[in-house]
Amino acid sequence: MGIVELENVRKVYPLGKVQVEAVKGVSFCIEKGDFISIAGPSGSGKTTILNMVGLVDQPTDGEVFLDGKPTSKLKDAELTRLRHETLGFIFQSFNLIPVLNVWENIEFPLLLGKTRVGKDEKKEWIDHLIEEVGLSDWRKHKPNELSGGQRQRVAIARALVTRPQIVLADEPTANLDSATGEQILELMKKINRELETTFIFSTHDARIVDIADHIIRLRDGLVTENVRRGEPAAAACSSGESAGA
Amino acid sequence: MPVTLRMAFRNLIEHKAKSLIVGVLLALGMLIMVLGNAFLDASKRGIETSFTKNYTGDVIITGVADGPVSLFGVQSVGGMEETPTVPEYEKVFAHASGLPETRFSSGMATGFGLLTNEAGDEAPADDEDEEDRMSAFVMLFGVDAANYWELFNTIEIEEGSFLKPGQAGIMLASDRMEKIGKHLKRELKVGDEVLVQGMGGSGIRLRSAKIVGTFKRVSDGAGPEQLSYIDIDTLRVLTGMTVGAAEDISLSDDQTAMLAVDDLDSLFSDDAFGAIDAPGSSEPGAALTEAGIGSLLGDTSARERLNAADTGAWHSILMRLDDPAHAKAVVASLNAWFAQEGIAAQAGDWQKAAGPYAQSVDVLRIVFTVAIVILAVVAIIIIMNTLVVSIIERTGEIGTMRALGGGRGFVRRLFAAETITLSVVFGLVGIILSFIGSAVINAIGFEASNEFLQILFGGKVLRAIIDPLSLVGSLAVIVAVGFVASLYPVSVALRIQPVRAMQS
Repeated sequence: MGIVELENVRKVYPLGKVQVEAVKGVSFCIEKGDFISIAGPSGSGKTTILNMVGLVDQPTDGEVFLDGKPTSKLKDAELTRLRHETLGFIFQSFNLIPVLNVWENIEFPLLLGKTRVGKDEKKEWIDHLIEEVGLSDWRKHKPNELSGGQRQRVAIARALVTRPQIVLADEPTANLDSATGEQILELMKKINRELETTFIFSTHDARIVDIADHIIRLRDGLVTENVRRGEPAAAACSSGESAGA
Repeated sequence: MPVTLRMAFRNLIEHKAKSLIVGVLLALGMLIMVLGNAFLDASKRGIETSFTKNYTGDVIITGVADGPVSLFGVQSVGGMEETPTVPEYEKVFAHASGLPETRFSSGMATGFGLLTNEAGDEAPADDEDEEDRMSAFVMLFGVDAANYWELFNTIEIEEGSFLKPGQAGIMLASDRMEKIGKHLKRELKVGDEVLVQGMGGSGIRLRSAKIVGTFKRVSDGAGPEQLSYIDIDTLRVLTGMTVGAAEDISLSDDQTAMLAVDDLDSLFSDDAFGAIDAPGSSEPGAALTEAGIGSLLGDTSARERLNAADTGAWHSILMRLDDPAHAKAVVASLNAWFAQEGIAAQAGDWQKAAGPYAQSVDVLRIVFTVAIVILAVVAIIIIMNTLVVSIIERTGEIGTMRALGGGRGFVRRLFAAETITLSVVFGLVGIILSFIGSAVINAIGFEASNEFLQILFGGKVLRAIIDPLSLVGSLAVIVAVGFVASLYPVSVALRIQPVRAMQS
């Protein structure tokens, strides 16, 4: 079933007096529960695509469908609500809130939305996530007291705390050493299997590409390869797969 | 604790340097406002206590003039307007005294005089300083001895006695006797006569006055230092409040002919004197007699009227109430009665009575408020600048919050919480500093060295009285300053897009 679909998406940035076309008409379909790698060299447009899928940036042309719904006409408040309810983010630089400890950082997204979770239920769920990411002994520590790997684990737990359908990860292993990077990948793969959360990576880390179910390769803002479990994938979700298609 | 408040507290600690810059400004602002208001409140309270106890009572009734009328005359641009008398004095006094709230009331008039010797030999002595010289200038309160002393029971006789009803004389402040004596080059004592030179609208007048007593005040405070009490009739004459002063003077052509003389020397020539013959005698050169000179001067009744005090003329009626809190209501009821009766009089509270003395605190408060507004604007600019820098540094953090689902409202609440927390915390620091500062100043007890400082301090010693209301007001101003200073930085924060999280 298609959960994300890009339809002829273009993105043009003004750079001084010139216009830079970062994404030149990209279409693809992502299915629920997939572990996807959007790969490509620097400047290929992978982060731009991830930003548009994550609703933190808008395409110049084309449409991004999220869970079958078009998103280009949504207002800021609706985009914010949709991000909060549907998406989780893992950033290259972890982006933890410096003044909050591990437990509070993970709790943070739950405090933003309008839906309130019961105190006991919230505590149980956050404790479970902390245990899952192996930080039980670090719950009271601030981000600056943690290693890079530990920070990324906190970021993963934070991305999952709202039980999102999709987690977007922008170069999640770029700032980690290889051993820690592998541990983080294993952790995400495990969560992907257990919770059926869709993981979308923007990366040029070969290890992610190796374990991904679905690989979309980009070059100069265009899709050069779109393969799902070894087979060429469709550029559009089938009508049965996506309400927006 | 809500997450915004928790984050606000921690962010302030996390960004110590910036918090301190902003906080010190806010605390200083608070300190200046609280201490400044404490001085002004103490000053006003000091002046109020001093004036109501010693000079004005709770309510004053005066005549009506173009400018505001106080116990000390009319405030006008030129400063030359004559103080109006209370019209229909007997009727007004009877009404004011009969009010149920009135405990005591008394009429009075004010003037200025110069104490001098008969021979006019008050040239400065070698060891006389400016203060000694100035001590000869006195403010004169012409009082109704029948009831004035019970209205102001803070006056204590040191030597001699109070002026009695119908008695002519002057009472001098005991601490000024020596200085006045030094100026007059003689040792003054009770029972001595002094010559008082009055300065009123109808010219300079001289009257001799016997010193009946010396006085001091039981409660010292701000007020006119060079004040003397004099019997009302002498004051009336000195200030031109005489029967004849109110009459139009009309002179015949013969009487004004002398003014038309071209050659003044001819007035004093031998011919002029030679022309004078003894009145009542047909023979030239006959001896002058008193009756003859009297008849030569003609009718002197106009001059006598000019020298006869107008016994119905009073500048004001002062009232002491059973409860000073009723002053406002009494003033309103009196003014309504004046309007109803068509009497051109007006009533006012002690501030109206004290005139320029009470206004000095108001003027100071205006100057202080203007200074505070200027300081607030400067503080707002500095705080705004610091907050903008802080927000630019936290662009990634704000972008992350937005990406994770934090709306603009959350960002606004977060920064409002930070600013208000900062304002309240450092406002409280400022309050603590103010209490310490006022305690130190009150303990030191700075003394006023002159009358101006006495009025400024509201007494002889500088006091700071922190009023809880002014404290709350100052805190509200500080929070408002913080809030206004955060408006632009918050708008900068609200413009940060969630995509900035990806770029951090």
